[in-house]
Amino acid sequence: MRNLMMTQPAVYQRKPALYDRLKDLMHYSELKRLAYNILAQQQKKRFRTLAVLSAFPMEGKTLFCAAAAMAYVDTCRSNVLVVDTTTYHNPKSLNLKDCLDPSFPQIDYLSLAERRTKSNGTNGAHAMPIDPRLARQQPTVEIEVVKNTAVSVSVIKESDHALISKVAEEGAGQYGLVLLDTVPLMAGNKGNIDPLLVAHLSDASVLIASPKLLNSSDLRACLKIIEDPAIHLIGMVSNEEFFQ
Amino acid sequence: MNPMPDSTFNAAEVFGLLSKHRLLMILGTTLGVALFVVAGYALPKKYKSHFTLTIYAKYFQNPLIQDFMPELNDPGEMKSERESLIRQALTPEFLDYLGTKYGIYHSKDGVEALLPQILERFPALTSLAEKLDFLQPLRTGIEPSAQREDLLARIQIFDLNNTTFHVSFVYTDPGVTLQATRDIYAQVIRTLLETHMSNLVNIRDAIRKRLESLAYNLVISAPDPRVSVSPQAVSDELQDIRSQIRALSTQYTEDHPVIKALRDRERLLMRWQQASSQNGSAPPAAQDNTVVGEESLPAVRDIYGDLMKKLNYLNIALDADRAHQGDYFVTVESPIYPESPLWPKKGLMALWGFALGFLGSLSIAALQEYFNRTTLRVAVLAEQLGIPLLGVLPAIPWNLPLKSEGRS
Repeated sequence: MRNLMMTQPAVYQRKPALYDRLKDLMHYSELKRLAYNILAQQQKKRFRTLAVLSAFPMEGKTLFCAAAAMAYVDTCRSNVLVVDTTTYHNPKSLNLKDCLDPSFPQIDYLSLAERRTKSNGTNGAHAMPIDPRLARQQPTVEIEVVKNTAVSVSVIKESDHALISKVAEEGAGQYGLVLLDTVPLMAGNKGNIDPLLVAHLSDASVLIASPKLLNSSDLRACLKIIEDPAIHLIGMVSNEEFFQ
Repeated sequence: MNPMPDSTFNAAEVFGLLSKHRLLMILGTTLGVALFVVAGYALPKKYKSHFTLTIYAKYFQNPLIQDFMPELNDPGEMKSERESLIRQALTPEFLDYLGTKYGIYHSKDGVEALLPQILERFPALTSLAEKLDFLQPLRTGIEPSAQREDLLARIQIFDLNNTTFHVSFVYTDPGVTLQATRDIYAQVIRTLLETHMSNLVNIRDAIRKRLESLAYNLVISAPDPRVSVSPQAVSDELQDIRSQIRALSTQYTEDHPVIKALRDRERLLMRWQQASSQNGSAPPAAQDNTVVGEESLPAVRDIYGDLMKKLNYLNIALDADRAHQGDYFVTVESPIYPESPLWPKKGLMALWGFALGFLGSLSIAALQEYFNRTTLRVAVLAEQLGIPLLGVLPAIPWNLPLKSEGRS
């Protein structure tokens, strides 16, 4: 682990800069408006767990999770749990953990991959629950876990189902909002946890839309997926500016 | 569900469009005005000088000669006659004279004038263009007819009314423009006078010729006094004539003019002699029923007298023409020095620049707006899906310093 840290110093140097940048976004009125809208929808539809979906990779799901969590905490003074449901990370995508400021005590991070590994890929009911705060305090271990799980993808849907349900149940009690970062709906890697399964098990879901989706030739196919009422889509978030 | 947005655009939105793209509009309009004003200074100038001439109807109407020259009364006919008289003045010879005198034939303007200047500055470009067949080797000169056409195109003639014509000349040099216009004016006046005078002179010459012919007939039909006094003298002359004819017949044919004249004289002498021997009194020409040519003698006399009267009238008309040449026309406007160029006018150019710049930038703004509207937006998609747009993720200024750092 020590070697790994030494060979990748840039990652550790960049970490604070990334969440510092996101912290800077807190001054933007757009984020405040976003937090208010989520809160309004929450009061209207009574949800705690919110699955964050997008059709394609790099549309801003992770960025949204981190920014929305900070904005929500800032607005509601309530705890937020951010759950990373990805088991294989696109090297070009943002890492959710890197985007979260450890100094924010009201935001907790949980990696579903780690939780699944610790439960040995079996029925989640017998797995040992891990305190999310503890998980956040051991960053090097998590990185290693994520990398290992990326190599060995052998998860059955039933265990994922139980795992997500368990996390959702736990989170619902302690947190004002549980944000579930997912893999893209049109992801090529089928070893990841199905984003539709995450959406079905969540109370609500939100779709991040960028020009990538709008200009896609598969737009109609994507729209057909999100028209499924079982995903409880409560709204869309535009990330057009991010790609300009 | 149709995910494509509505791209309709109504006229009421123009003001919104102007407000939204005001920077582009201001920039586009300013650029247009600046470009056209610069073009107004840079483009070769054209100067115009003109004169206005009125040709009175009396030019075509003269009671003294109305028997020979039918008077024109139809205004349309008179108008076309006036115009053709002015155009008649611009003969190829006059155009050549004008072109050579002021060097108009060798001058070029516009792009034609710029190209030789550019090629002169860059000889390498000339040789390259010639090698690539883009440019023909230097021409010795434009064809004279083409040059004349070019010069003629610079002279504009148009009517202000039936009697008044506006004649102008356009050229790049104001001094040459004035001089050439004066020359054209002088040529037009000269042509008008010469045409009028030559018409009269031609008629006078025709009458004079006819009079001479009639006079000859009268003379030959008049009785020779020798017939009654000395018939022998007539016989002698007849014999003398015959001997001359015989002598000349050896050398010339019957068609020779001398032989013809002698034959005529022979016939006349024979007729006198014959008449003298039959009647012994009155000579044939003295009788009223004598035929001279195709007409009777009294008719010839009448015609002669009438023509003589008309000849006198014509002479009077010619004298009057010489004395009062300016009575037939009047110069309403004389050629003057052109102070400002006809083209390009800076004010007009600025106006054009403004209009084109404004319209151009408006078109660009409209196109931009159209493409914006036809591009699918997240808000439109959310609306069509029937779900709210929760918000927009702001752009992250990755390269700028942190605001929190600035504050600390």
